[in-house]
Amino acid sequence: MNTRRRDFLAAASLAAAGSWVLRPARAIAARETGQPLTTSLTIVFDERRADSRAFALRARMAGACIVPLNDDIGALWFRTLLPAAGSGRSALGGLTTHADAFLIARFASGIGMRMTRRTIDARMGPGALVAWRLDHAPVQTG
Amino acid sequence: MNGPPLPPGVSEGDFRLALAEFTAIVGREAVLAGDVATQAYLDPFAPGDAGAYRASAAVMPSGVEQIRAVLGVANRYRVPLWTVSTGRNFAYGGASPRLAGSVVLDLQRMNRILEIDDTLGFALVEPGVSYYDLYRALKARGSKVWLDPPAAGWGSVVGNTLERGYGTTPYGDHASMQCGMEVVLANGDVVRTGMGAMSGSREWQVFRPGFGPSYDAMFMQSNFGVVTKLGIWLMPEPEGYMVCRYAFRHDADLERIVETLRPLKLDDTIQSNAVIESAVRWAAGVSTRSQWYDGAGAMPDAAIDAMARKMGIGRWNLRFCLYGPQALVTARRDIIHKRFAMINDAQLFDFPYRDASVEPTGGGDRSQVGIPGLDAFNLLNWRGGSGAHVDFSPVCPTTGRDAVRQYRMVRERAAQFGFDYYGGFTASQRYMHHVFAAIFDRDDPAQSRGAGDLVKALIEDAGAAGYGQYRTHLAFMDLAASQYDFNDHALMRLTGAIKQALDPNGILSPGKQGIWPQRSGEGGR
Repeated sequence: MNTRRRDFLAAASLAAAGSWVLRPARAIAARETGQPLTTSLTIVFDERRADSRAFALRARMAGACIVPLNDDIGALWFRTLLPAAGSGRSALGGLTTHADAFLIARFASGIGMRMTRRTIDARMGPGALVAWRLDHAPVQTG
Repeated sequence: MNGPPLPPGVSEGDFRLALAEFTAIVGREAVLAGDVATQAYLDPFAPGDAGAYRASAAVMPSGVEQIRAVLGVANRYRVPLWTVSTGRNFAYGGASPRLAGSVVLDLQRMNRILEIDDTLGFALVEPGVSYYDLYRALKARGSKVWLDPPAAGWGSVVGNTLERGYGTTPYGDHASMQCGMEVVLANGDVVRTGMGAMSGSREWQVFRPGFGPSYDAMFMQSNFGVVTKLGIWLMPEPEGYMVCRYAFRHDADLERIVETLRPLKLDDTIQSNAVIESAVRWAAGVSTRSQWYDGAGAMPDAAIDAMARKMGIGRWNLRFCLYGPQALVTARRDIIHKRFAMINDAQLFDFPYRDASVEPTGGGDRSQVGIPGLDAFNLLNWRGGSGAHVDFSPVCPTTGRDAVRQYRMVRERAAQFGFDYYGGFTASQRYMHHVFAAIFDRDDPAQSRGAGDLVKALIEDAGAAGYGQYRTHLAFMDLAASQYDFNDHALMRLTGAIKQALDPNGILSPGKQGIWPQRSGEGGR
């Protein structure tokens, strides 16, 4: 991953906006220093976007596993994200375009995960990125 | 938002009893009811109020016997069921029912690939099998056959075929590649079509007609039964392939493109379905609108021209694929190049001939060699916000005159509503699917309503000009169906008679494709 100066600066600007996605992993990492994480967080990032790369860097520092979005998103889901999300104690997150967030949310709903999302800097218009997090949720049954 | 609606004409007490009986059949985890659960079935791209098509609950059977039992309960309590395979019919309504308060009969748990035959090139699948699932299964067993994916590879093979979806390989007309179905009728009877009507048939997936009348098409885009198994033909992997892309500089080139293309399609020189994409459709796959134009209203010609030049694309862009041994592919390519080179300023790109085992990288190119993808959804980023789209999908004869007429009609009407012409044609031999997507921000109520109003106006315009829809969103199914009006709607009278005979209680997908059961009258709609 490219970690140029611009990425570090962008990471700082995004810290407040996207940190809620990372919170649990960081908390667990702090609680269990030196221990393997019992709850995993996998962060998806868009390699084409500096802000997203910077976010991934921050996520990695917080103890999350990071996955670049450089392939067909369906292939990525089946090959990487579905296995990563398989356990009820796993979470997924990301800073991606709206389209990618939509697709991942729909795939994840099939295994009972629910998305929380916030647009980061809506003033950017169509180029705005969406910070999102997917957690397993209890299914409401009849 | 209020809670989910009850099925029309069903009391709360009866509905509760029906849900309890559904639960006894399929299990507690497979009945979804309540506010949160039913919201998952709302149309994320609804052009207007998604709640207008809200389900009351969802039931997810895991097999044919469970479906039969569920139908029994639905008949007893008169609970309407809206059947979906995986519920990803986005731009046309998603998993939402046409009739609010219907219970979604969600078949995603029926996801077995029952058979793959590499020798004869077919698969037999259940409704919950997606194109990704089938593709992965083919790869896992090293099959030398290709599937034909639609633009959205996560869709159900059964669902897309029943909706007469299409792709871009030579097997792109999915309905015509279907062979054999198993259908559960509203009364619980299980029927197999074609040769499948013969117990122990070895020909179910190879000869569609059978002996006597043929019914497969009757269960497509209809509400006459629940399709539980479907055979689909698969394309033998060719020795190699060549992807070709042509860029045409002028907006006025469309007529000549189609006139040049048609004979090459009719004599099978071009084997794949051929895709003609407008500049905006191409650009929306790889960029956002504000990179090129930030003004109000539809993008003006000058902005589109400037965008096309910078991107190195045409105002119209043609994409197709050739298959077979290299000598044959090259011969076809040379003939095709020669014909299209006669169009002024045409840029003809072809990519190297590749062995079939080599995968191309771009989404459109990958789909032409049988690899499912989801790149088509990049259009959601075009206008920004929570991007969504609703599609206008008329059939267009493969003539330049018709293509230009439809294009102008759509582009001008779209501009009146402030929408860009995001459209294109997928050409078969004698017809083309002309699909225009009205892209909008679903968090913007005005844009959302505008998209719905635009598509309604377009359907009316097209109908007046003699062009019918091949598929449409829930909101426009009645309108589109009403245009098939020869002899005072004789076709719908026939359809209604069949519906009444097969489903007298009107429990299966009321309103699907404008087909309403007699008992619903106008009040239930």
